Amino acid sequence: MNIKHLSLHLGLGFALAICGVVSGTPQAQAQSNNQSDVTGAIITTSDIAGGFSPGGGRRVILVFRTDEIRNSVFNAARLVNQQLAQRNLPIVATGASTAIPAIVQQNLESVLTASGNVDAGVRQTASDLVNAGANPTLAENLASSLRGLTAGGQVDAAKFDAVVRNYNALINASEQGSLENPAESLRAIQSMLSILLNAAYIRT
Amino acid sequence: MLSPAAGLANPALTSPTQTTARANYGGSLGQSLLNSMLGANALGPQNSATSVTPTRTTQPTIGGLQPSTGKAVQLAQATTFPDIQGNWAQSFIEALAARGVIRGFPDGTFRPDDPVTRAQFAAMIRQAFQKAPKRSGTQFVDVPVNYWGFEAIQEAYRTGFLEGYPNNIFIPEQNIPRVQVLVSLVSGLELSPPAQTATILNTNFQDAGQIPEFARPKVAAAALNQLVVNYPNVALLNPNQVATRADVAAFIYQALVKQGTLPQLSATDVAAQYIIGYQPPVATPPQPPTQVADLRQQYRLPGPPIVERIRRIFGGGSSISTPTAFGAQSGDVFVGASYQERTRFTDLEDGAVALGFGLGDSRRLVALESTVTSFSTLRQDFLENGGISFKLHRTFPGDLAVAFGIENAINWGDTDAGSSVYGVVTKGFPLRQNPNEPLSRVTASVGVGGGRFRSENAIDDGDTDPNVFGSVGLRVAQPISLIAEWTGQDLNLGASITPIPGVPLVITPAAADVTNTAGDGTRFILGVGYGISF
Repeated sequence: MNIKHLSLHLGLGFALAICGVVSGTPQAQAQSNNQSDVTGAIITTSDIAGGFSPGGGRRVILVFRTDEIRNSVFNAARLVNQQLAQRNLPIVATGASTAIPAIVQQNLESVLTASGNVDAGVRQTASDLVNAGANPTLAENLASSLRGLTAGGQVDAAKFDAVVRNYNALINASEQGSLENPAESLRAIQSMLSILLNAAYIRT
Repeated sequence: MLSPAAGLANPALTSPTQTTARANYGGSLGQSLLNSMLGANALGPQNSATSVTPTRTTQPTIGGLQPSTGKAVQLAQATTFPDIQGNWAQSFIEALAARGVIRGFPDGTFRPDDPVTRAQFAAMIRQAFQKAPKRSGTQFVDVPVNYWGFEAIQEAYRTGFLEGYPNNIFIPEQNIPRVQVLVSLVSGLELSPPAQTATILNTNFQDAGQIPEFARPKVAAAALNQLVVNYPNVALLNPNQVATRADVAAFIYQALVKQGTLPQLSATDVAAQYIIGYQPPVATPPQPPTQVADLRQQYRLPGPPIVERIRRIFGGGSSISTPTAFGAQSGDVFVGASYQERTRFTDLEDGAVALGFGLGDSRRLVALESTVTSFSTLRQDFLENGGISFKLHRTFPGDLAVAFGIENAINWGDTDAGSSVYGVVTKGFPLRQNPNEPLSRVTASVGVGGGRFRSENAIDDGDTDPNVFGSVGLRVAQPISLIAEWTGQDLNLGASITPIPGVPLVITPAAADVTNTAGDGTRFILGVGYGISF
């Protein structure tokens, strides 16, 4: 059974079950000429199905392009969480190959997994970026958007997209000095995002 | 056909070869990722005439995101135009064109004095700012999913740049006034309104009195943050004048300056004299621009491979036994079943099934809903007792609908349903912008009808005078609405439940005649329906 259609099958099954209940009604005269046939739930208009009222609407959601990509990103997220917990996040990105300080990894782990003192982790990450010359607003946007990104080994596609946008916005506004001597937090974020993106694109 | 929307040809017809300012990938990681996955040709330098978007979109938009094929496209884009040479806004326009925020028309012109619609403005916003969403999207009643600017409007809404009008109306084709542009930018950038609003406005604008009351704090914030550019007279805001493409370019440019993304114009630029509160840029040691650009390029990352999906939200019903004025239109089909634990004055269960469909468009003109009902189904075989009902309905802006119907206009078999003629008016009252939030909506209906809408005594006495019926449904949470209803003879209480997100299955359990008006006690009734819109 295709799990993607589980809800549809459940819905149809439920509807059929109710139809079964109705059809199992004893065969006997219920009418007493007092319009008892229509004193139940309305059965003469689409109001029985919600009436197609405009009150529902549509919602745009962002999802990974395929289930395979999503699963790959989730696996990478679990790996990142493990690496951060062990303070051995690899340097995947630009710049010096020196290890990222443990305290930076600890902060990032707290923020990404939404565990421990998350607010302090966000503040520290933003502060680290600002001290290295980043625009304060953009640094705050980036640090805040990291909250819970890899929590539970799962990654919300919209959140992932927002983090990359915020990261690129910060980079686009960065001066030469802050990129030549990047904040340790920036290196850590770049490496973490790189791991997730590599996992995503390797499945495309 | 030309559209002034950010200078693109008819957006609905645009090919996938559109640009976006969003994605400028490359650098060591970006380069390696894209080289291996998207092809090296996809890479473009920052602010160059090329850009790529491997990520998302589901339909062509002026925003120009690529279909999610994973293939990058290299594009050429003009960064200047013959009809802006010497124009006061030339610097603004060229800078934004270089970033892909705005574009010229296919004939090579920019048309700086043309107006900008709200949808076009949303598209420009989308290109200019990379901001994380601050709230969920919403469904504007006049912005269908297949509208060219749907995604841009959704994003502008999600990021806080744009709001709709009351009753979930957006008016995408409305030319946007200058004041709305400023309010939008201040909202999107989340600039705090200053304390001395009146002083700031009166000091800077001779026509401050023309600024709408709702906009005054945000216009003051815009002035304080150097977002306002007044051409040709720096002292006149002309807040209610339709914004030109040059105006919008100037405002967006200044917002990007405020954000730190673009540099302030130099004091020698002709446009600088029109910027409210203009401060010349602080001199900094010159940097080799290509070096900074290269560094940024090395750091930038591609967006994740994601796509947008439209999830339909089903609102559930707002009545139990009585009709509302909403109904099926062309493309709508539904099935339903009803169950009565016992019918009035009997101890016998009863059930019925129905199938219906709609024709016409209730928003443009009118729609006709037709329903075939099999009463006492299987008691005397399917459709042995039955009826055909019609409902003619029209929906107006503001979630208002009016309907006229004949229930069981055609009857056959041994049913006691009878025919009932009715008229009903329904109005929806959104209580929250986001339909997913608790207590998000109230829907109320009131109608007048004969037949089964009469009281029990009237039916017994053969009194044919019409009677009043009505219902109120309160959506307490996304899947559940609570309903109270007067059928003309009974007070019913129940709930409408959509148990499975995204599945248009509506279950309506209820207690009928809770006040024992008919003298027969309260009865349990149940409805189940499934509606599909093709």
